Amino acid sequence: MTPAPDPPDDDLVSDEDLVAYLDGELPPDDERTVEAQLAADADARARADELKRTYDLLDFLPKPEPSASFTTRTMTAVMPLSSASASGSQFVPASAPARRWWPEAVAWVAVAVVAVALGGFAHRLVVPPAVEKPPDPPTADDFKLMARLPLYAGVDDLDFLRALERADLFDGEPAVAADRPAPPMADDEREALLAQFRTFPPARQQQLRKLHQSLADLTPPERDPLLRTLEGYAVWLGRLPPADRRRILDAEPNKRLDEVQSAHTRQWRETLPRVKQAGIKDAAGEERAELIAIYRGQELGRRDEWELAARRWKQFGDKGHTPWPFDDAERVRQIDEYIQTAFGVNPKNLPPAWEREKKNDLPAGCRLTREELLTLRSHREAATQEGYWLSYGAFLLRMSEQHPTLPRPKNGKPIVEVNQVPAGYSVPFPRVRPLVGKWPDFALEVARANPNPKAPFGPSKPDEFTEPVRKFILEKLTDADRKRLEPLEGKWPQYPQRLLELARSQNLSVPEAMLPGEPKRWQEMYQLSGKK
Amino acid sequence: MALRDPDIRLMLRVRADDRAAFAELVEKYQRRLVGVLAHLTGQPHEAEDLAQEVFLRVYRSRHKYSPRAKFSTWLFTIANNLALNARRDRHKRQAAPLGGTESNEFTVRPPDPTAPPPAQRLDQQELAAVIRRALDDLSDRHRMAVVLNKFEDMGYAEIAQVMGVGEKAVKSLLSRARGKLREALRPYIDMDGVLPADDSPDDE
Repeated sequence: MTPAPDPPDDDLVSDEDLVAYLDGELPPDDERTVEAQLAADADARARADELKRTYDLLDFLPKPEPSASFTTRTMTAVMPLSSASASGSQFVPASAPARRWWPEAVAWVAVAVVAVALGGFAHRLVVPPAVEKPPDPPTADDFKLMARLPLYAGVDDLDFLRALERADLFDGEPAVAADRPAPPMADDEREALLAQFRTFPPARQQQLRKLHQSLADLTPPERDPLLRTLEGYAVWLGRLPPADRRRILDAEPNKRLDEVQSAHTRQWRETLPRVKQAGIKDAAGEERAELIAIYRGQELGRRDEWELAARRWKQFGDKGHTPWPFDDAERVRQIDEYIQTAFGVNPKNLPPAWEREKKNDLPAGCRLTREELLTLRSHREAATQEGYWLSYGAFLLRMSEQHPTLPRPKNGKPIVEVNQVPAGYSVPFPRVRPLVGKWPDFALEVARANPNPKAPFGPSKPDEFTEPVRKFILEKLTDADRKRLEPLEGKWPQYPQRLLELARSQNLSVPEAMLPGEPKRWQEMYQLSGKK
Repeated sequence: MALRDPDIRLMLRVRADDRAAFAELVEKYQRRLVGVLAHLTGQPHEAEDLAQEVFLRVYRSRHKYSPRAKFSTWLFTIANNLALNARRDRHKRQAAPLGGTESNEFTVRPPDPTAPPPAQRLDQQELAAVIRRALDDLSDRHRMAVVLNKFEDMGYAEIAQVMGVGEKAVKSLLSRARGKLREALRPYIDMDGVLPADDSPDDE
């Protein structure tokens, strides 16, 4: 403010203060001063009045309204989605008529195909419309298309796929090798898919052929990210709660990506806190980095769900959503029991997220590493809470191979500590120290150091095993196999090792010592090609 | 303040790739943005494209967004920059017109505001053209300050943030801009029947 030695009416108010006064932007003191000056000075009042009125004139300017389609056009520009028309590559406004046939078509097509792809609920859904004319014999191209058909379920065309890829929801990790050939398909599977394909409206068939061809025409660097997206998307779609999946498949083509995104975000929000956030939050520094690496590794593991899911294509008759062997409550209980006896941890009471000071504090007798234990924990949670059964199964299979076990003695006191080793035997201390508490690792190490002991270090006769194992030997093994075992009685670990081999060769599972359920089925369903 | 601003919460959802949130944002701000951009560029038909471009930029930089100021401040900063670029491009184009034809922005050449006031009353459209011209004749920075202040009701502090200058500079910008508008529009403030009712005496 101007210093005011003179009376206010002689003092010229600057335009700057006058404008700021009109705008209500003056500090209270200055405001009072300007008011006093205005009261005393008619000239200042006239200036203020002019300023105000010229400013008011601006209200005469027409204010354009955004056009009605502004939001649609903007959303489309942000995330271009193409029409579902056969020509396919032009963006269309929301009102384009070309896709009128499409929503119902895609709804049932996609649901059916995804059902086929991911183990089935197809039979509960839509009855396909009757086919009017006898189909042409399938071409070689058709066969190739069939191999990918389940992946195309929720996809309109190449433009949609590109938009999906740009949205960066499913292709963050290069875990899925795009050049991996589609899993071999049995003739009857292909026939079944082909039969379904033929029930699609001709325009949709054409669209799928075109999509398949456009993908084939791309160069590998262009194609691979799209294939990864496709795979991630198909697997994700199959795992979605049915209502969410329905919303996506039923959406109009130009809304589909919206639905995908919002389901994705919802899922991300819901799962991240529960499964991961607590652990990451409690950790710090190095440990946090380690945890994040573990979770990331796990995500990579989930990409393998694609391979596993693809393997389930053939399970047309599958009744529920939950895959074998988790579809049976009793078997799930046995699996938990197996985890307890084989890995030495109670799956229902896995340790909470790691705290720094407890870094090396594994549960007594736990045979898993810290990382494995954490992974078990989140795999199990993801499976039981969110239905990620496939990667849980694959993880369990891998763990069972990395930590093979042997049946425990019926007295419940396996040799796992130094003072349990009978006097007179050598104990290779440095080697057994990390194995204390762990069955059968500790006993195996002692046995290695003491060949031909007077008494075996573990159960090696039917009567020495727990009741389920004893019964298994006496009732499940063939007479011939039992005969093969007899010479090994009293020898440990040879006797139980041979027992497991014999069981495996008969596709049987030894209770408590092997994953419940047929070993071959475990292999078929859960052995990943990249591993072992 | 950050989390009290509901639009910041909305933008954080956009950052998390929530498309519905983005659509909400577009719905909410399109009117204001198109309005401001039309005033800034003087090109109603261009305003809509520019507004779309603003939203595109918001979407593209969503992952980099961190709530430091009011969301609208950030939005109008982007709008400001785009409007400046658009005017600059247009001037370049006009400097070297390809076909030598006159700009088709106005179908009717607006009256020159420095010309003597018309004897009879102007119709609303003509008056708008005069005002438009006066606004166009301001410098970019003056126009920006005026448009934000007048049409967005922004305070000096927020204008300062959008324009990347201090509050003092805003005060001076606005005062000079309004001085210029007063000079250009003085002949029109008394047009009978055109002005909003105002019976304060005036010697002019």
